[in-house]
Amino acid sequence: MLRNTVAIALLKLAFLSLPPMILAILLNEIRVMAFKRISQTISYLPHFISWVVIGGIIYDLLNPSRGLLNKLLLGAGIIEAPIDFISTDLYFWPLIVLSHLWKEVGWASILYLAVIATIDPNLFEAAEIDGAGRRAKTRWITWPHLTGIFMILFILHSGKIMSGYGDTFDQAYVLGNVSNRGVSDILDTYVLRIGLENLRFSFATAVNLFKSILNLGLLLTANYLSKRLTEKSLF
Amino acid sequence: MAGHARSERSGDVAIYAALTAFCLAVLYPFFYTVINSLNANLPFGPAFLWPTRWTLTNYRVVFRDPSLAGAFSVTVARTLVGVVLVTCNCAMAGFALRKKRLTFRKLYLAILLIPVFFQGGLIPTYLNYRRLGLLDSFLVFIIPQLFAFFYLVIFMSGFDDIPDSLEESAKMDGAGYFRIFVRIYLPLALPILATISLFEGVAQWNSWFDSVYFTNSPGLMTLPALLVRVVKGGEVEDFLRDPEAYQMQNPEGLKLATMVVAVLPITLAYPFLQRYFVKGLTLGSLKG
Repeated sequence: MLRNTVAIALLKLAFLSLPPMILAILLNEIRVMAFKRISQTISYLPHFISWVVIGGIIYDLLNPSRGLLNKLLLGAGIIEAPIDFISTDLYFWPLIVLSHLWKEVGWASILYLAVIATIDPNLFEAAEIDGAGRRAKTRWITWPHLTGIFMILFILHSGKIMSGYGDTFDQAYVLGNVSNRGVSDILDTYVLRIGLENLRFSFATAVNLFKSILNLGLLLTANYLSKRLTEKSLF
Repeated sequence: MAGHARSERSGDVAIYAALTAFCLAVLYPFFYTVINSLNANLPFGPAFLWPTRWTLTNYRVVFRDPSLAGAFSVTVARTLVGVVLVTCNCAMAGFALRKKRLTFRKLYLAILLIPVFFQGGLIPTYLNYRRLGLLDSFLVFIIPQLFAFFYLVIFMSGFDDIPDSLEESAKMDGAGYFRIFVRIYLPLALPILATISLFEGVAQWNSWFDSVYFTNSPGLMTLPALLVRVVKGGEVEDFLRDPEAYQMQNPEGLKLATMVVAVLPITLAYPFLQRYFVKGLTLGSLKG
């Protein structure tokens, strides 16, 4: 489980950190306010739906015999036989990361949008006078303003690596089954199983405490490194 | 300059196209769920764009089911009670803890911050609830949620915007702390109250773990807990005892209809509260 937990967390850290920032930058370029508002509303929506429901939808869309994804891939001739994505070890981690990205990217972009809104508009005007195009303005004005909040979120997420980054417990609980347990079992689901289902209280508590201490250690390490390297830190 | 403008315009098109594609990708799974919960031909294969034969049978069966009706009312009850009590409690905490002259203020905040980064863990929590008599009781849905540091921070930073002079003048007129809190602070912090209510409402509505692991009685099963059983298989068999459902033999449709029923209240309330939460959230996090 330790391997699964860390692997899923690192994959999420690698693939979920940047997209919200990119989404915020794109949204900020939109000048038609109605379009911006509607796409924001849509992008936040999945955040408010529980993983139980999302998991139910995933089961349906990825169903090997009748799900949309298999039908599309078969129709396009990319695969020859239907794939049971949820129960196949190879696809489980990408599924966890991608579904998390789909559900939370809009919500996570709120913070970045809020920071962009605090940037002094004079900076952009001055850059325009100097002939800066959109790309230059994004690179030299927006981007540097976002690195601070990026580092803070990165530190906070480092403190959740032993919990699989966040949301992973719900995902692993809903999508985990006997055939994918080799890749879906994380520390939290393990503690739940040995603790509340097999009633081995002391062992489960020990595993949990070990997890909490590692998480705290990771948080402090990330905080220290960030302070040294970028002068941005939580405390 | 002209080249600039042209490349900006094609950039615009690309951005609009990318965002439109993104929004469609976000919406499609929900659309799929709704149309197939209404599709009578689902047992012969799902519809991807539009139901091939409409039916409302799934919803009739789901609404008739006694365990679902029970779960629905428990969930409504915990959401209402939870939102009111949690929001009030965190607002009062925020009101008290932002007073710079409160004795031991820093110490209180430090103690409250510790569980954000370091928790006792599942088993100690479970044993604690057992000792407190919270297991298999409605209160296990409410009491453990009463305080959240994240909500406290949002309330504290929101209250910071309210000038102290208001409080001073109210005090001169003979108002006590409780009156100041209720008459001045709460009305001025309405967007924050709406934000926290939305967050807590969604958290209560979606919460499944406490119902699955901390309660046993069927009368305390919440909608998401029932959904866990539906999604992970099993529960749908109970629905099929309904004669109309038995005739249809469409367990997938029943599953999808249950999910739609569980999600509908959130999606209906959400657009109305949305204009508040962005403001409330960014306020709390940027200053905090």
